[in-house]
Amino acid sequence: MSDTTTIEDLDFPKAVLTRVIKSSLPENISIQKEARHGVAKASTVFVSYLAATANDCARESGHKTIMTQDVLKALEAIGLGDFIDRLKADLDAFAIKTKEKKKVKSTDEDEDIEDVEDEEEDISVVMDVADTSAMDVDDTESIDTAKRPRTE
Amino acid sequence: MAASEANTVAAAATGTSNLPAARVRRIIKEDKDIFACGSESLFLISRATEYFIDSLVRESYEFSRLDKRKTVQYKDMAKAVQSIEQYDFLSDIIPPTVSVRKPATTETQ
Repeated sequence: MSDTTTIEDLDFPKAVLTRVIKSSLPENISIQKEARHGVAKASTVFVSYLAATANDCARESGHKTIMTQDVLKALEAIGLGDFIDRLKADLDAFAIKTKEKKKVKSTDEDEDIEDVEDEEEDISVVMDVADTSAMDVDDTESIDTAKRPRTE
Repeated sequence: MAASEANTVAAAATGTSNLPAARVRRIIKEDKDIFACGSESLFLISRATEYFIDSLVRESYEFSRLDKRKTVQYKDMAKAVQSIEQYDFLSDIIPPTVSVRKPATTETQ
């Protein structure tokens, strides 16, 4: 371990995890601190694991950027194909939300949502249009997306 | 694996994730082998993680129930990890706690 930041230091915020955990348990059930901690660690590792597997799928398909198909294939590969149906619904909802946001912005460059799938530009990990209430807006990395107008 | 109820936080298809995107992004960036990740993919990974948490917690709770407890404890989670094949990748992260015993064979204190 050479880095000062290891993968296990990148936990999700406690409040966020507590909320997700609580919604998975009946009202009267509580969770021990150590178990919550276990969930935190497991979640971070899962992101890493899924992303790495998706990356392998991307490479196998001959592209460098992880696409949604790669993520879905990866889930199948790791035995979590059960998630796929829900995730497809999520994707649809996300696409609608993205469209809505773009309408609100009413830019002239009316980018087709379908094109997002084809983006193979050299973008380091980007989250274009997330609902900001779900985001830690603590980091504003400069993002090299040629297509998207960067308005604050 | 148990099917999720439709009323969990994880299950709502609103096009947003409950997990902060910036954090998901940071975790992915730690992996130097990953060149780039589309924004939709990032979102999917985020949502998949929520489903995973939901699944892990529910499976752990099954063990609490077997023990007739109303608190999900670490050991329930460790049992879940041990018994479910899809959780093999977690075997080092959520190991069973082993009680520390002085070795019987070697010199005693």
